[in-house]
Amino acid sequence: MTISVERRGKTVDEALHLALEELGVEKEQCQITILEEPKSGWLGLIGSREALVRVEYEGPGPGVGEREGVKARNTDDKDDSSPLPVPSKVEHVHEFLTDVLGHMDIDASVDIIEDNDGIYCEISGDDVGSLIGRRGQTLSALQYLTKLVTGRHPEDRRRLSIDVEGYRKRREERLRSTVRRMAEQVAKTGSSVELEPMDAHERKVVHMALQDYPGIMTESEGSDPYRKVVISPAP
Amino acid sequence: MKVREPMMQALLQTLVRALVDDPDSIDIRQVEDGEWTRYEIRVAPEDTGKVIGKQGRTIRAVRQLVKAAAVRSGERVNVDVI
Repeated sequence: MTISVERRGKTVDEALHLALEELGVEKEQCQITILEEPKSGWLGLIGSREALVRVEYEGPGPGVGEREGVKARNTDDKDDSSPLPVPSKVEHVHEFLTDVLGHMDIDASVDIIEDNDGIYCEISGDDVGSLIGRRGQTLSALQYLTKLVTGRHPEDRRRLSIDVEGYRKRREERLRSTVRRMAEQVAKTGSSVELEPMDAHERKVVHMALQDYPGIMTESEGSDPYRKVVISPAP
Repeated sequence: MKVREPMMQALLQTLVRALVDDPDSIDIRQVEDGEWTRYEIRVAPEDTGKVIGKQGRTIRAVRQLVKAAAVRSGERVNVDVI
């Protein structure tokens, strides 16, 4: 039974302390990996990065739900060459995003929330505007590349989405209220309305927002990147 | 501005490295072209398609990120796969 926790901090010690506290164990009982050294950045302003530490506790623990393979690998290893844990998809995503942001000179933090359906990355910081780009183009590019690069995890098929300072969320909410107004128009006038081209995710948001709207129907037309949703009166 | 140039190289290295099967063959060159800085990416022949992507989608996303990184320094950059 291995429990693994990753924590960030201004220094390696601080991150380590947070992780140990979370696990409620002593340093000596754990395997500690420093994933990222802190960087103070140029003039302490840009490109700075917090330390990231992974602490793995292998112990009697609560004992249930022991994962296969984890324990077996330990046997023939010498002291220092403890097994290199295969990075999980979430770790892989986190590492890639942190690397890319660091090299883009963007001082931001990456928080990952996961549930059974998805992995949601929220990037936040003071200077993340350039990460969104015009009409979210840079954010789309970042999400596309992250999916591509971390796609080889057959054990983890959950959806991945990335947001920057709640941009996508706000845009989706705006999109929902806009298309509801348009649906109202279509229902009233009986003539179809064509929306601007959107990516697959945004088209889905539109279809979902209007699926129960009376008197109209939605359909996607055209091909990417110009594929768009058409709202028309129900037949 | 000189400070940023190795950073751009490092960003491209990170992105391309994550995309290819043969990271040892990556070669990224910086070419000054008037006001523009062009980065030429060379990879193993069998990796070229992975860097370009279907209908150029991957290289477009790479360009988008590199350009976003260049915006604040006022640099004009472009990225080509050779």
